[in-house]
Amino acid sequence: MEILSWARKGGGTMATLSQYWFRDGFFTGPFDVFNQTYADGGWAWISNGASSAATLVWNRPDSERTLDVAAQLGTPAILAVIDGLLSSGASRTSGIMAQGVFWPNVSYYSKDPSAHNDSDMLIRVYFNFHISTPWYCSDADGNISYYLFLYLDGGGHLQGYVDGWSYNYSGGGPFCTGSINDALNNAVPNGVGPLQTVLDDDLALLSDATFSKLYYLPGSGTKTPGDTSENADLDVAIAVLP
Amino acid sequence: METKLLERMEPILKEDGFTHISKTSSTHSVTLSAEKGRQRLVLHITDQAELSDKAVRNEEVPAAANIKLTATMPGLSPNAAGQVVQRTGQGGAPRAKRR
Repeated sequence: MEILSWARKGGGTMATLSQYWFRDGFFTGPFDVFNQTYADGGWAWISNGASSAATLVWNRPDSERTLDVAAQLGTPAILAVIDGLLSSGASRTSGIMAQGVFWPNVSYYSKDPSAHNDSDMLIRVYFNFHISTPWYCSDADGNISYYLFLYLDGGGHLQGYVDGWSYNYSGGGPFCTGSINDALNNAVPNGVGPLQTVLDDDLALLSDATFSKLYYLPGSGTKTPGDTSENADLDVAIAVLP
Repeated sequence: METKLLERMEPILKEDGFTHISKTSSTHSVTLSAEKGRQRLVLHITDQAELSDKAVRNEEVPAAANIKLTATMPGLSPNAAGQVVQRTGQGGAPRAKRR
């Protein structure tokens, strides 16, 4: 990918012009981001000659604060809590992944579409699992997801809660889906409480300030100048502005 | 769910020389498996088709009145009260394909 960029100096603090090119679709899958810093009062441009399915350009003030969700949740302590939820015969086969999803794309949307605005985004925190079965069934592979809903309260403080959960898998046939479902129906809801505690702890990192804007950025939310390739299905960043 | 049939099968299988007799139960099914040499046997009773996915919304969520601003993508400003989306930037629509 050939990228041209340029910045003109202004004065004061540094802002960042970020452009995201999504290869498969908006806010999904692999993407490239190019960050061009420039001084407030100046201006910047980015040019890209490669093809993409969708693009997003965002001017990011120096006051923007971000939280890399997958990095925050992928600690050994949190992984140990998750592994403890899974019963014997089940094992986690991936790290913690995070993805920004619009409300209509959440798996329980159809049960209560008016629960959120269609433009609202939730954070899907998920991981893959494997369940071994007796000889008369195929093993099961799938993923467990928790959906986080973040918002600013009346005082401008960042808040969040676990909005719901889901699982899906392939395999387990022809006779073992019942016992697999029993195990998952018991284990997955039990993760809501610990995840809420983790979420509260992470949001406490931003509790020292009040904010007026809240949005998600695909990937880690990096501001590192230049070109970076990430995957919007694997990570999302919480961003807030005073 | 009626599972007496499987319970009656266990002694019959033992009498017939089956070993490794194992019973697995779930909310909607019971499965009995056994082996005899190279032969393998499975008996399965269920009263419900089991789907391999489930999605549930948490019932204990904060009241909407406590929510001033919800999260979305950069450039959109969701209005929680009016359910109106305001676009703060330019563009945002998919570009029509050229012929």
